[in-house]
Amino acid sequence: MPQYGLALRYFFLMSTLVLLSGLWMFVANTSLGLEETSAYYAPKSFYGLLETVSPHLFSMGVLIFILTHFFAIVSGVAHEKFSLFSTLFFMVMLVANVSGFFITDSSIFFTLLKLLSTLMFSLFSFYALYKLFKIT
Amino acid sequence: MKFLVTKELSQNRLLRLQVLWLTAILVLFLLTDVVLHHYKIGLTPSLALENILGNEEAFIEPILFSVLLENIHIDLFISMITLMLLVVIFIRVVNKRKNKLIHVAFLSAVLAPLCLLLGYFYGAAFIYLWIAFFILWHLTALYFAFSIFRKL
Repeated sequence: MPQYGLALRYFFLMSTLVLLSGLWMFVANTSLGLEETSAYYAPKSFYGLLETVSPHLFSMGVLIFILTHFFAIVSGVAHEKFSLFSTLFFMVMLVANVSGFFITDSSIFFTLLKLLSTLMFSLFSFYALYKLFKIT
Repeated sequence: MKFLVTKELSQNRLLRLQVLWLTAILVLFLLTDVVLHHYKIGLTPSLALENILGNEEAFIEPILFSVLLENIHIDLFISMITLMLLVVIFIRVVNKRKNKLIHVAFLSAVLAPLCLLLGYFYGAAFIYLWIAFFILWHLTALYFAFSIFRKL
């Protein structure tokens, strides 16, 4: 088993780097401000957004599954707590991806939703990785 | 419905075939990834330097930082999934302890994009390191794949 543990810890490290590089790009594009986020997403075409959203739905979905499934198969984890966590994790990821389609120059709501859901997704990811680093 | 659970790949020909195909496809991916990166960035020092930092004499602009960051983001994800799949199959199929090789594979896959990023800011030395780490993680991944082929 120690060899699996070694590979898993590297997997968690690389997941952290993937998240950090993604977050870096998000911050560079939006500056985490309402106006900047709206100015970045509003002019984008449906195709332009889909080009980013489609691969992210796949990769973020797979990553969430890989991370959260460990909570289901490792002993000593409260399943009820983590089933709520997993549901929220997937939902936040969906909102973070879909909300970009509804951002217009005049709507603050969806811009705020995009910012909050992306930050929530990052927080959930880092929390899951922190727990998994501790478990393995 | 019954689940036929066996840890022995030799007793499950279908699973062995599927693992073989997956490994073969990953080998194909590794080879095409090398070719792709040679065209996109360049795996020779002169080509990589020109594509990343630009060349005033040849009127070549340096790569946009946003494009570089996007490449690094994608490369990290793909190398993470590729290595994880190959290492997990390798551990399962080849019953030898190869912790050092696992360290080399993952560390070079982590250091390659970091060196590419540092190369953009601090120049040639890191770009040479990027080429070395990039080739190293591909070679170790290919070693895992061919060890799997030998054992299956």
